Amino acid sequence: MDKLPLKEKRASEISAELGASDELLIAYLEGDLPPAKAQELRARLLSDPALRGEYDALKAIAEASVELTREGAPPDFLEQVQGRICQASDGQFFGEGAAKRAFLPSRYELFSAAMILLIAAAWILGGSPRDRSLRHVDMASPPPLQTSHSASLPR
Amino acid sequence: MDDPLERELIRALRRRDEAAFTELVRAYQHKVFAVVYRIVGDREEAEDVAQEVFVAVFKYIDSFRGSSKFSTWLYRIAVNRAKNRVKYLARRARAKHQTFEESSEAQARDSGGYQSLPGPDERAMGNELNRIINAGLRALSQEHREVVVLRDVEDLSYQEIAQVLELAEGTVKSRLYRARAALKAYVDAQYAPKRTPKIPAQEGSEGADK
Repeated sequence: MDKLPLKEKRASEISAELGASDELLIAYLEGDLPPAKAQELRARLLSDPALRGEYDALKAIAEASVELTREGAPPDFLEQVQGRICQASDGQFFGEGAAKRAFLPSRYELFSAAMILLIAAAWILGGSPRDRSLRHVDMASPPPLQTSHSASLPR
Repeated sequence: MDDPLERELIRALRRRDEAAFTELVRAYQHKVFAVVYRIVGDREEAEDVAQEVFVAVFKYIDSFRGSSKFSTWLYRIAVNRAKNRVKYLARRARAKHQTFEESSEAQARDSGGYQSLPGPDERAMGNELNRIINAGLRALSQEHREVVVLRDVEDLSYQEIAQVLELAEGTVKSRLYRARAALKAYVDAQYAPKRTPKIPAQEGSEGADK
């Protein structure tokens, strides 16, 4: 394996000879070893501190590499993409007033739809709501007109 | 392509359904960005390339035949665009470097007027091992880096990586092994001048992780 200070090397020169133990350890880390060989290697790792050190180093590097990839797109990424498409299509897509609704209904939309269905079902089954404190009013015969004159008029 | 939801999404994309496209970007933006960023190595450039990837999907969705998973096709576009950008940046850097060498600023640099400053990502990265691995990934050859990135970003299988990169599975495996070994050699070399390699590892951590 190359042990020279690589800071001074050009990026394109960086490579490593794949030794037999490296290959075995990487295969183990990648889950490529058959169970019997994996078992054998586990036993060797317990008894060989140098090999264990190599394994720990490879494992730590692989884990750190996974860790590094958790870089997210910026919050305005979607708007930027839509803006580019709008520009490229002369406003045919993602222009002003273009539909921005999600492909699948959101949680709020599903909840709203469920509530509307529930109210509609209650309305159909139970009829329109009534206020029981209201007195019945006979709409056919209007109430008598109350004026100052009406009190002195003979009945 | 067995997933009915994915089939429906592709159909909607072919109709240039804006809502479907919005859903697609929301679902894949971080994954695509992560792949592109690790290959390109510069956040601003990666944002630009990742945006280009989705614009290309919107334009060329009709060329997706459905012979592979949609995500495989998407990653293939992302990797190819990122590789092209790396080549372009390398050409531009060479041209700039030549101009710079000819200028008087080069003299100032040679006399110790400039120091190598860490990039914003490196400054933010408190962990020394992370910083070194970040640099190590950038220092890997293009073909090694893309295999590591595809494996580590999404935990893609050898078969999926082979489809994305249009390589044989055996080639993917050997590249990944060599890339892991090269990365370890890089880390060892960074620690070697100061002390014996000492890399944080969890006690009792055994067994294959993938």
